[in-house]
Amino acid sequence: MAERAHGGGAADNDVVALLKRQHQQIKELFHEAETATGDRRREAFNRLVKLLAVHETAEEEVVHPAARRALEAGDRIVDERLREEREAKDVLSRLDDMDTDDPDFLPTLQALRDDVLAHADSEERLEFSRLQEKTSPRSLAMMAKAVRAAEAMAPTHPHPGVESATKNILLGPVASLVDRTRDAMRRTMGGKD
Amino acid sequence: MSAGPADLSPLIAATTRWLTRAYAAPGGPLGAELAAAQTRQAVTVAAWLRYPTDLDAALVLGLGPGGSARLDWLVGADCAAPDEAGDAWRTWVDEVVASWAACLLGDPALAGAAVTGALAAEHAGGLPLEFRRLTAPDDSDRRAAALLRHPDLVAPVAALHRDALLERLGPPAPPAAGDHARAA
Repeated sequence: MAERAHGGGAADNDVVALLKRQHQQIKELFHEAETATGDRRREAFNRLVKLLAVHETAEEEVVHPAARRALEAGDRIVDERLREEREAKDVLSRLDDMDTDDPDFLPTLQALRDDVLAHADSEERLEFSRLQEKTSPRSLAMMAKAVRAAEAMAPTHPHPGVESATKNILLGPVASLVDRTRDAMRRTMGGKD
Repeated sequence: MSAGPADLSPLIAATTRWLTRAYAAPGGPLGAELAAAQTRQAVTVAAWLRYPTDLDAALVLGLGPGGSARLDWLVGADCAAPDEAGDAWRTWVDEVVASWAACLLGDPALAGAAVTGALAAEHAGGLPLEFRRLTAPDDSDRRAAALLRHPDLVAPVAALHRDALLERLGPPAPPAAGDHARAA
C-alpha cells in the first residue's frame, strides 16, 4: 500500500483530529526551520513547504466543500479561509525564491508562521469544530480516509506480483489483461458487456 | 472515499510520481509540490474513471497496474533512471491512468467533465469533493505545471489512450441555447 505521509494512530477515524494533529506538526516544523541554521534550515523549510502544500490541498479538496454545505454561513467561513491560504501561499512563494541565509528570510518566515497559525486557529474554532458537530462519525471517518489518500506517497516496495521493476519491464502493460478479466467477470455476473 | 477494501492510493501516488518526474516543475520545492498537487488530482480523477467500482479497483490491484515500462521508453531514458526512492514504485504506475491524467491536465473542459464522472464512482463515497487545483488552477499552479499542462509536450503520453477516455466520458454536453445565439 502507499506510504503514509502524515497522520495515523487515533486520528485515523476523525478528519478533524487528523487535521488538528497536522496543524501541530506544522507549528513544530516552523520552530525547527526558525531555530536551525545552514543546510538544516533549508531541509526543515523544504519539509515545511511539503507539509503545507499537501495539507492545504487536502483541506480544499475534502473539508472545505463539506463545510460549505454543512455549516450556517459556510460559504463566508470557507471563503475567508481560502483568502488566508492564498496570502500564505504568496509569502511562501517569496520564501521559496530566497536563500535561507538571506537576512530577510527569518523575519519573513516568522511573519508567515504567525499568519499560518492564526489561520489554523480560525479553521479549528470556526470550521472544524462546527463540522464535527454536524457530521456523522462515518462521514468524518470517510473524510479522514480521503485526506490520507490525498497525502499518500508512492510505495517503496514493488507490486506483489512483480519481483522487481526490471521484471516488470519484461512483463509490460497489463491494461488489456485487466480489461479482459473485467469483461469476463461482468459477463459471468450477468452484465451486458 | 470508498468504505471498501480496495485502496487505489498506491497506484495514484506512483502514477503521480511518474508524471511529475517526467515533466518536472521549474523552480524550488514549492513549485514541485504545487505541480504534484494538481497532478495527483488529475490522476485521482483518471483512476476513479478507469476503475470506478471497488471490484474494478480490486482487480487492478490484484493483477497489478502494469508499471511504467512503455511510458519510460516513450519519454526517454532520463525518466527511467533510478531515483532516490528506488524504482519499486514504478511497478505501481498505471499507463492508462497516466495517459488519461495527461489528457485532463492539458484540457480544462475535459477535466471538468471528468470530475463530474469521477464523483459518481464508488470511491468518492458520496462526499462533495472538489478538485480545484486541477479544474481551477491559480497563476502559481499554472507556472508550476507549465510542462504538464502543455498539450504538445504531453501529447505522446496523452495520445496513448485518449480515445478510450473520450469513449468513457461519452459525447460532450450540447452547448446551451445562448451559446448558439452568440455563435450566430
